[in-house]
Amino acid sequence: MAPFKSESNPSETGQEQEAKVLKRLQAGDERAFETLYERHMPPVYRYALRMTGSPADADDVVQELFLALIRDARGYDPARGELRSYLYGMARRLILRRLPAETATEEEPPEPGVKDDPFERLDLEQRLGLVRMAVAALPATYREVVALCDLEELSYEDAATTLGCAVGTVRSRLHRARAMLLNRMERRKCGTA
Amino acid sequence: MRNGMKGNPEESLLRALAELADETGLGMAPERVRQRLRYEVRAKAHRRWAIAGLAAAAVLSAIVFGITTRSGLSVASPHPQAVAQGNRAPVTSTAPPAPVASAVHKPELQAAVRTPAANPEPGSARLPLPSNPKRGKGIRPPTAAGDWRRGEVVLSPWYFNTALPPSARSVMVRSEVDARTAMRFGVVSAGGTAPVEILFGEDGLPRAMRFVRRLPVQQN
Repeated sequence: MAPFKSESNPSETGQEQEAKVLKRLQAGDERAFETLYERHMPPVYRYALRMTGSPADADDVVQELFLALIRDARGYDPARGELRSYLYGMARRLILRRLPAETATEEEPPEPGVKDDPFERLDLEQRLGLVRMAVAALPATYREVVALCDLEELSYEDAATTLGCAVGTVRSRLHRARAMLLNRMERRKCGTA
Repeated sequence: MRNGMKGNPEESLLRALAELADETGLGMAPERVRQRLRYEVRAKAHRRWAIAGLAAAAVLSAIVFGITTRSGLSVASPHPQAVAQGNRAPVTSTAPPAPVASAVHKPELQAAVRTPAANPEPGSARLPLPSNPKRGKGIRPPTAAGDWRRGEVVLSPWYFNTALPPSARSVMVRSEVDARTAMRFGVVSAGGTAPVEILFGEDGLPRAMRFVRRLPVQQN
């Protein structure tokens, strides 16, 4: 992640600069707030929107997250990673609190392989609608890896930091999530055709 | 992916996900969320300034108290209710309104803390309660101690440093804070400053403070 333009100091890492801006925010500096909000609100909002599927819930998540940051951000340690990952982690906790409880997501049987292209003969709107519904129907454990890795384009390492799990777990969940998506889209396409 | 194009299902899925990412990539929280957060930042900044202002007033009052007791200046006007037992007259400062916090000198502060109070007699110290309940809570009758005490209402005291040991003697010091600081504590002052009274223990540490409200002068 590129360092802040106004804060650039060759001897400081991006994390240190962000920690400084965060400190200024805690002191009530409005410019620091604007800097952090401009930089981190869009990805956090998109992540919340993709996870909850509701713009109102995504608004609430963004507001709660930044309020917590303004009131007390002492939980962020620049040595442990980027502020972005920390914010994704905070957003994830807020999002999971809003999602209905799911049971036994890890115990689902493996999805059968899909040979036919489920997107064949579909126009853009249909494709988007199909994939949007399939992502929304995924269990939260799999939806979050798709949201982070495929939609937000985070690296496996960053996603693992955000989710608090190993990189291998992220890989396997993503592989499984894609298989589930294809399978569900195939079924839905057959059902709607 | 083009319409009707046939390909690998996995690749098609990745392309469809990329299209979905592009479609929702410009999503933003509405402006009202930003406004709400901005308000929170401003409120936090105001709270910090209010606390800093009070702290500066307390420190400067301690310095004034120290200077007064060390230099043996005459007591301007005793506070008759500052000491609950005995008939002791505590020192009251007539210092001008508190200057800015940058004028604080540490050596003077230490001197203020270490210097024993002017009155050596032991006793117990409490903030005054209303002597006559009919007069109303926290309202003190005008005294003859000085003209500046006439027509004033003493507001409810705020106790702090409750973890400190009880003080055998105490001194009430009058100081002033600027009207903006007073406003943050719900006290409206017509002038540029609002008078406060700060109770110091014999160790020189403040125990409590209260605002004093000046009543309009009545013409008889």
